[in-house]
Amino acid sequence: MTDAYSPAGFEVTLSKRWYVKNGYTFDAYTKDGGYEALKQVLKLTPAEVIETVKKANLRGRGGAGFAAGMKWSFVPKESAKPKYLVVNADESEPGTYKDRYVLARDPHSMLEGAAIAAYAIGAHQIYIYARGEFGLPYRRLEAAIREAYAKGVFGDSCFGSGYKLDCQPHRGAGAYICGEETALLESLEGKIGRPRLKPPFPAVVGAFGGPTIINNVETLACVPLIFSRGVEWFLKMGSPNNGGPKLICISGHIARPGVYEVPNGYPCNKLLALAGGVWQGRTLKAVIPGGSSTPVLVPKPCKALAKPDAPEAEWPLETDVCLDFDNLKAAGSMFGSAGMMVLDDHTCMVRSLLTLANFYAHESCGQCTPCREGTSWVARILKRIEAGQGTEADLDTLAGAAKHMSGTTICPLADALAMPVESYLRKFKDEFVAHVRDKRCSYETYELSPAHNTFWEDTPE
Amino acid sequence: MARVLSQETVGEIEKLFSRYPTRLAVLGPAIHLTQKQLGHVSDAAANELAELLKIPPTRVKEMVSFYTMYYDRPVGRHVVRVCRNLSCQLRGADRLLAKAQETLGVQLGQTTSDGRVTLEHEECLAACGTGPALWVDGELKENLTDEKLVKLLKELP
Ligand SMILES: Cc1cc2nc3c(=O)[nH]c(=O)nc-3n(C[C@H](O)[C@H](O)[C@H](O)COP(=O)(O)O)c2cc1C
Ligand code: SF4
Ligand code: FES
Repeated sequence: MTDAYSPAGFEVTLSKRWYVKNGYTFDAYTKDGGYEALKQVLKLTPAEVIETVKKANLRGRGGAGFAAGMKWSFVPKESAKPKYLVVNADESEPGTYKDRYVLARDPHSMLEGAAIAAYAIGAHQIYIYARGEFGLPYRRLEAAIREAYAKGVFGDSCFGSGYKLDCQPHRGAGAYICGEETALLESLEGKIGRPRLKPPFPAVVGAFGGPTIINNVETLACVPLIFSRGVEWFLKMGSPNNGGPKLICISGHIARPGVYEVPNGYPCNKLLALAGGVWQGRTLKAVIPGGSSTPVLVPKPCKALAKPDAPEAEWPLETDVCLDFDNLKAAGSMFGSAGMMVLDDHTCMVRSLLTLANFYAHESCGQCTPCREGTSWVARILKRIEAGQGTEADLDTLAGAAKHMSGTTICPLADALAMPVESYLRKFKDEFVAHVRDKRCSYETYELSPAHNTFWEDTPE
Repeated sequence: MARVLSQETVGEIEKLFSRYPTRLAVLGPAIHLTQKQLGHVSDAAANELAELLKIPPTRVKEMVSFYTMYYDRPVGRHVVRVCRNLSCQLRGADRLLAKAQETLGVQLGQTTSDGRVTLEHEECLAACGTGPALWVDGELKENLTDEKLVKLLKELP
């Protein structure tokens, strides 16, 4: 079963225990050598740990791709206030569902990574902020933390090293914005989720006023591998500057949706083929590569991905891009949270964009005017266009509204809508124009076609 | 006046105090615990929480109105949230939402007249690969079809 969600011959590490009975337990994890990396780390100095993670160039899997070791090094060594390690398990970016698998199927890999990170920055308290809607994954997380306390990972002396380490899970309550790291901290402190102005950055002033590192679940699950497999292994696994294994979530019009584990930099077209290709034998229209906010890619030749001076006939397609932070940036998009959505040729792009606009309008925290007003304005215009009541002028207004939303707000949520608006309008202009001209949407309501992915069906408590 | 928060709920909240450097940080978990007992955060419950955490009651109110999983008024015995975001929409969530409203005889945001089910929409449940998906009373239901949905809704006690 395992090889079905990874390339043939590729040795999976992050998803290795997902398909093993009781693979989420402490015993299963330690049988695979789990927590050995932490024991090894406790014999190093924090500076050495940070240096190792820096060398491996582990880039954050939560969205921005910022180097974890670098981020850790921003934490001041001396601090009057306690330091904190906060795990971002809020997972709410549309299209993304990998962290949920890690929490429910292999929580100890993340806990070990979190313990290593906490030791590296000198934090004695870990908070794990998980989205409130998680049921089973949250119970598995709680159980794993209890096990880790019982086995001496957490408590007054981490594996007898004398290093005190506590870990507390914390449930959110349904707010997408709390995935943004500073809104998450506000929420953790018992307040409404409003992003903070930066600077100061959380590494200096974070949770409860103390220096704080916030890392994504998958980022932390990668950390033990750097120590157990070695920096070389990690660097070699991916593409240059983008090391390590990567979980990619595929959804939408694909034959076999699921979370795939691949080496970083794996080609998008190969991944689509691995996932059975576009469903029902239909044609690929577009790929949203990294979660709802990332600009859309189309199967058209892309100069930026071609070798310099290559003739147009040899340009790869945008959707042939290698999936890593740098290549997706070159292709004009982003890797984001690796929530890949596949859209077939029956998809209405106006409707898709409207769905995203409704989402961002619903989730704006409201403290910046361009975001609060802009997101709902964009949603209103798109609703008109999709309903066949839009005008030519609406198309310009739409482009203008998106432009005014970007770069003017406290957090990137406004840009997260502005970017898709810009890319959809540019790449699918004729579809928007057709809606206005024909005064209707010519696409049908989508059929109800469940994925029939059986991953969770054999999941016992 | 009689207290609305049970001894048990108060005890569970107090156990959390040592886990955070401030009492305010316990507010979120405390509201979850309150709802576990009462279903929603009534004015009386908000006041008792405020007293317990030594914060103004408006802070409790503000939290409850900001987060979608906190309720300031009674909801149905069951809360059903149907995902309407893109991955699920591509798999037919629009039809599923319509079917849910038709089956229950309510619009989104409403509760059935017998107080059995409150129907809400949800923005991505992190179940995109097993969509269309919904959330009912804390658990996910995935790979939904018309039949599965209707059966599920009808069988909620
Ligand atoms: C609107 C918004 C939502 C976000 N949601 C999440 C999320 O659900 N999970 C996550 O890990 N990061 C999310 N992020 C990114 C975090 O702010 C932060 O960059 C990340 O947790 C850092 O972890 P990493 O360096 O390990 O990637 C979000 C960012 C923004 C702007
Ligand atoms: S950009 Fe939007 S979500 Fe972010 S802080 Fe401003 S109003 Fe809130
Ligand atoms: S879009 Fe429905 S669960 Fe993600």
